[in-house]
Amino acid sequence: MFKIILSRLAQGLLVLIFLYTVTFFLARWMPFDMFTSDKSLDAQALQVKKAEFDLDKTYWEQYKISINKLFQGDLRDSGMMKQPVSKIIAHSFPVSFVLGSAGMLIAIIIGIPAGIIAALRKNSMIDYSTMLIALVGISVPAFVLGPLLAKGLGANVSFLKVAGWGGSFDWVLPSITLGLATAAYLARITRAGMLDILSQDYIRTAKAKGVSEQNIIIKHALKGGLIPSIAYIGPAFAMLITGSFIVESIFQCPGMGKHFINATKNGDIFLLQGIVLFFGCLIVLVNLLADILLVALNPRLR
Amino acid sequence: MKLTRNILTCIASLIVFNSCESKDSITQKTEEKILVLGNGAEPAGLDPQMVEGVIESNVIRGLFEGLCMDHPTDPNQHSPGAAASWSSNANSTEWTFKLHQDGKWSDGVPLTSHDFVFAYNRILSPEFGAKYAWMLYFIEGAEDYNRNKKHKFLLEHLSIWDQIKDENYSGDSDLDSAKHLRSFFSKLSDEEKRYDNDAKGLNKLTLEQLKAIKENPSLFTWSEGISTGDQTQIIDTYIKHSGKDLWSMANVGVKAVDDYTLHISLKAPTPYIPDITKHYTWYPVPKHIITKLKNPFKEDHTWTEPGNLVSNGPFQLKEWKFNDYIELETNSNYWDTDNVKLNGIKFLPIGNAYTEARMFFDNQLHSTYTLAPELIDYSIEKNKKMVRQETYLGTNFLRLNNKLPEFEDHNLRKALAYSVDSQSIIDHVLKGGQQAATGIVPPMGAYQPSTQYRFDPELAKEYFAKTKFADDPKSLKLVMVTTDKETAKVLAETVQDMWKNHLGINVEISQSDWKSYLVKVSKLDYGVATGGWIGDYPDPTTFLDMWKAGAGSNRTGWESAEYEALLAKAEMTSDPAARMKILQEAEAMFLADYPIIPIYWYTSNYLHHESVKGWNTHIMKSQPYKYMSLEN
Amino acid sequence: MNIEQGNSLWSDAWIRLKKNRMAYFSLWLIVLIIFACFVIPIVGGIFAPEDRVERATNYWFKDPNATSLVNKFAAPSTQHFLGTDQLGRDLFSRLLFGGQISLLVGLVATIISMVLGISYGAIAGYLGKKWDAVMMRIVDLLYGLPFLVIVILLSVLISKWAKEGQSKLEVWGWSEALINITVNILPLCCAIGILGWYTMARVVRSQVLSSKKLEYVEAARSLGLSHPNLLFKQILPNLLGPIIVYTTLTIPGFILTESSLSFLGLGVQAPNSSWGILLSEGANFMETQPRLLVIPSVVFALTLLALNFLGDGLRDALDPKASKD
Repeated sequence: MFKIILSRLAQGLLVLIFLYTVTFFLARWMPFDMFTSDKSLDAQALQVKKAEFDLDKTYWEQYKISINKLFQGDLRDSGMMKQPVSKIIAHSFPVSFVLGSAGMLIAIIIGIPAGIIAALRKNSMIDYSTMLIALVGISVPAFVLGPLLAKGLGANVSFLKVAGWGGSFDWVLPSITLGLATAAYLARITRAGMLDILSQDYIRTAKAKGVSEQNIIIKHALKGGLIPSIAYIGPAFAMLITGSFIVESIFQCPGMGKHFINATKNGDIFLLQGIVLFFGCLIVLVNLLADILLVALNPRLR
Repeated sequence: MKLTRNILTCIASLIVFNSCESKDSITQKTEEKILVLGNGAEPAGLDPQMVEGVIESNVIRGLFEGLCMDHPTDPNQHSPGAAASWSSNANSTEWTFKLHQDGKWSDGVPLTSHDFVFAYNRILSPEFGAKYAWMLYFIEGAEDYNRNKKHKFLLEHLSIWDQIKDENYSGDSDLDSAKHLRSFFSKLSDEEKRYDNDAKGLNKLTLEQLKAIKENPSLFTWSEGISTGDQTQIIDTYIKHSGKDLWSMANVGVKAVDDYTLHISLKAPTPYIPDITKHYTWYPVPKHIITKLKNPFKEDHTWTEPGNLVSNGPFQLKEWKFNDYIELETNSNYWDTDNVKLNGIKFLPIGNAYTEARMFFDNQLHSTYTLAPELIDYSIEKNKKMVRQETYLGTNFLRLNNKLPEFEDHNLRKALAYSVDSQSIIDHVLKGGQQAATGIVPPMGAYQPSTQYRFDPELAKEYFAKTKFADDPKSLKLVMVTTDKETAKVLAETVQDMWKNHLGINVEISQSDWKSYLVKVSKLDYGVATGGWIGDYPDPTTFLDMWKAGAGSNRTGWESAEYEALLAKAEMTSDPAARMKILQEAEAMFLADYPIIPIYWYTSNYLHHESVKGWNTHIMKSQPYKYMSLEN
Repeated sequence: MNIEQGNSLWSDAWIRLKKNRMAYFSLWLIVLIIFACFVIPIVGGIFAPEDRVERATNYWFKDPNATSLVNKFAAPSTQHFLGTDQLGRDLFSRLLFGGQISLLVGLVATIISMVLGISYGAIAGYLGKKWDAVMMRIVDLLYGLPFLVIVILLSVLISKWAKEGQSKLEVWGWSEALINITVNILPLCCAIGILGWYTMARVVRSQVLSSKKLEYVEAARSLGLSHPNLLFKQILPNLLGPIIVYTTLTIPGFILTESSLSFLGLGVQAPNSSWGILLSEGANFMETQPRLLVIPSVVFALTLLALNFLGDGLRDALDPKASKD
């Protein structure tokens, strides 16, 4: 097991290097750069500014400089925010992490039990109503759910705010907004996975042998039935903790999603590269965790 | 289960961790005399010489103070800022500013005229690359210095100047010398040396390079007809002055007469210079702090960090929680600190206008940055007193691509212009009390705005009948580019349908993100483009200079030498009334070609809490915080 | 054994689907929605009067893009069945026209992402070991790429192609609507589909990994079945359940993605509508004109509900094991 993890980490490193390289060039092919502005710089000032960021050099030289600095732990400065990229990430990631983790928890706590119950009582009223709620949850986009929660709960419940960051409960509404859609997806996927397992021959055999239903579910069905859910949770969790521009914007949370979008829209390539690299690390780690969990649930996967 | 327990502990610790702060309410903040403002976005730095936007300006106006200051009530008067008094000669070209004797920086160091000279030197420095340096071009010699015209300072007095003035001084940007960067100059081949020298231009060569050229003039590509003698003379002059500071050569019209007297010579009569000094580019920066930086003339954010930032305005930086808020507190070293009534200002970077409005109605803000058109009626219904609608110095207009073959026929331009019903767009879509624009320059002071544009569908049809598309309107294919902003999209949709209704033409709309849009428009890769312009200072030239041929903001392909001659003439006219007349003439000349279609003159719409006193209307929405107070 | 039984897989499935009332009802609902979105606008367009004023006042099916500012936010009436929007445009016709785009995007993007995701994930899972590692790391890489950057680059590329393609197709005499779909909508569908298959690949891969060691697969393997046969005939059909469910789940995401790309210049452009665009415009008027949000939301949600229940029904109907009950 330990060996597998080590080799996966090495693979992950390779992925990160590729990711950084691809992003490096993609970012430079964008039709605009950080100096594109309504009030444009004159040619000479532009040259000065470009030289400051080494952008007057060839791509290859820029790449070498960037990689060099990267290995010294320097993600360079954001062109638009005039701050070190590492500082921007350090300030905003904790917020995204709190929101994403809480959102994921909400999703798991609601989604998986709902999916299991629906699968066990297939085609009953419970099943239909659970799935109905889940589907409504999926089809209400965050830009609708967020404001509804803000107006419905934020404005009326004393300890919640319509938006803003810093208070003890400010993570609640954005996390719910993030988590509910994921919960709905999870419920659907869990239900399908469970149904699939419940119709497998070995479960039927167990049933025929008179093993109690509770035992079947806990000992056999859950292990196999949750595999698709866990495969889904990995990337979904990565998506949640990397921040969501829409939710952050609705609830005014100082998270990372905002920087990601703004870095792209501003052509702020250093910030963009830094965030992509950071996200890459998260994705590699989270997927690794998900895979370990999968193996733990189903040793045959090894 | 162990996992569950861990998760619960996690949640519990989160709650405990955060549980010290109570709900921010406006009532409490009002008692503490802290003004809480929505401010659109996170500022891109707080160095007044580096920034370029309204958002940064809103914070910087609290931190720093220019020579003159807005009058609390009368927009036509000025109050003392960092300068206690000022005077000018009869035609407003020579100005003397007397600073406060007790003026200090927030760290207690006296604020002197040397800080101003240093500030203007820094922002104009060609190696600094400030975007807004042109705001100081009013000053004698400032433009030449900023554009690094070393050759002009060195060679202008020579008798051969007329012959040699067009040599390659600032380098040839088509040549890319980057590949030689890592080799020492002496190691390059002659061919490479020449390539390198040509790429840099005479102004940027080092002493080593100059000496090499002196020995072998062919290491530089001279234009034809320059004799070897002249070449030697040029190079000799450069060598003689090498190592000399460009600033001292340039003789820019800013002088510290003594510690508290600043003398400024302008290149042209500018009676409105006190207004200009209120712009953040004219603010002083702390010389004693910045000269200690590794390179004072390079961008460096360390001096604007909380704890490091030293400022001269009514407030100083208390806290900057990145991406969350910026908080200012009273600066006790400010010369007029007794008259500052607020204890602090808190700026929140709220980008989402709907969120901002919700926060305002949830009592978390004293004033919002903006108010979305969709929320205006709703807010008026909720509380009419809280909705502010004020004239704002800006024009919204459509650019026409003047280089497009279709637009060579001015009748088409006129047909499009006269079929836009601005008033109904304002009444039904924008709802912010805007004014239908009849020209590019919005009404200000003594300036008489043009009245050329209006909605007249019959006239539009008449003009359209004269175009070659009259018989088959569908054969006209135009693309209207616009941004991803909701208001821009709605405007485009409305105008597109008006043209369909009145002229029968079908214009295609193409949205893109802001910067892609800018690239498209700058490359003249469009037919019609939505757009707008906010004035930098309250003078018509801020709306007229942009249409000069080389101006980056032109983006229409329209140009006229006569127009620029008129602007130059206005610049040299000291009588304000006569000057305005010339500017009006210039505007009329520009509009006569119908290169753009003005839609409306902006208003600023925002929500504003009644507890804020001393917040008066301001045409640029830059109310000075100094005069404000909070009362429940 | 008669002929009917010879067709058994599909006809059996059909019979079983019919028995599932929820799924059967959903099927008809989807047919109805497709009919409404594609037939009504076409019929309404053919008989519409040429004159814009005439159509705006006296005809039942309005021009979806004709504004009438004085008539904004009109309540539902015989003139405007669902009322008008913020620019006085008829919501009914905008909803139907928008449905065309959204259904098309949903369908094409889903098919693309399904084909890519299933085959990629299945192959990775089936080959296992080194191949699995390499293929899944490539997915990790693609996951990490900044979506918005790719979208901006694509929009530049596609607008270039669109210009060239448009003039070519015009020469061939294609109709304007068809050209519009080919050069604007199809590349958009492809873009969304191509950017959206990663999760599907992960889900399928993990399923294949776990089921390829099950007894029946081992049995089939020992019979000497070829690899493609084993993978696509033995393993994948048994994974249809999660695949169908996951597929139906991705559709709303795709439909909503379309609207956010529109603002960046990819795909359907203003003033044309899609359900995603109607939703995001409606959200701006949540406080004042909830109708503008509620109506498209209901239609959108109904469609998704129907698709999901139909998906469930299909899964049950196609599941060979279910018949043993």
